[in-house]
Amino acid sequence: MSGTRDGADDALVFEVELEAPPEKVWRAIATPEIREAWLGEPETGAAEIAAAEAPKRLDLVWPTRDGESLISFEISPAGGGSHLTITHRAPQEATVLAFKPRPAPAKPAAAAPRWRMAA
Amino acid sequence: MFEADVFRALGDPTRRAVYERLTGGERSVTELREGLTISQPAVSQHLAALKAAGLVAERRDGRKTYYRIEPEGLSPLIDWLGRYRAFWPTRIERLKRILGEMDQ
Repeated sequence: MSGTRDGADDALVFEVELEAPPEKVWRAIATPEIREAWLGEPETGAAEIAAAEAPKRLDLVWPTRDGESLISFEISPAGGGSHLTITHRAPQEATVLAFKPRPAPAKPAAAAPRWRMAA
Repeated sequence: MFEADVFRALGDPTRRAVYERLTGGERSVTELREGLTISQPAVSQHLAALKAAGLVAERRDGRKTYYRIEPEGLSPLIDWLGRYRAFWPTRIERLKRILGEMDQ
């Protein structure tokens, strides 16, 4: 069954047992039309393949309203089926945030609506 | 504050280390620097970025400034994780169903 672990980290990990062999799971993940049929589309923009190693691993850049997240699918044979590990990393820019002095924003009240960054 | 700033601010490993050091409680810049191989101005710069992202708050006491974690600051990340923790189980069920329908 599916499990999840994330702790205090910035990634979600799901471990999934599938009855289908790795090649078939690979097709369901790597073929855009099949993938969209079960995974859908990102909140914003389009998914983009960052790395692919058939039939083992596919990395997908998945835009969200908070920035680009990264989904990694890792497929390995297990019994007659497959073990699939899905790791979904929260957006984080690799580049160091440039320090730009700016006027200190007024601390928003807890009930105030939070800003969302436009994509 | 832009939510994206939280993600960006924690994306840098050193800055993250500075932030994690504050989970032990309030610290001065000097205390934060102990054990890290970065200069004091660099620590100050990371603290400024963390402050700008709403992750850290400061308190002045005479000539010293103390920093502490702003607990509300992580809520964009927590919200994000919550959103996608709810997203995946339904997608995984759909994947299983599609695998059952696909040709070998």
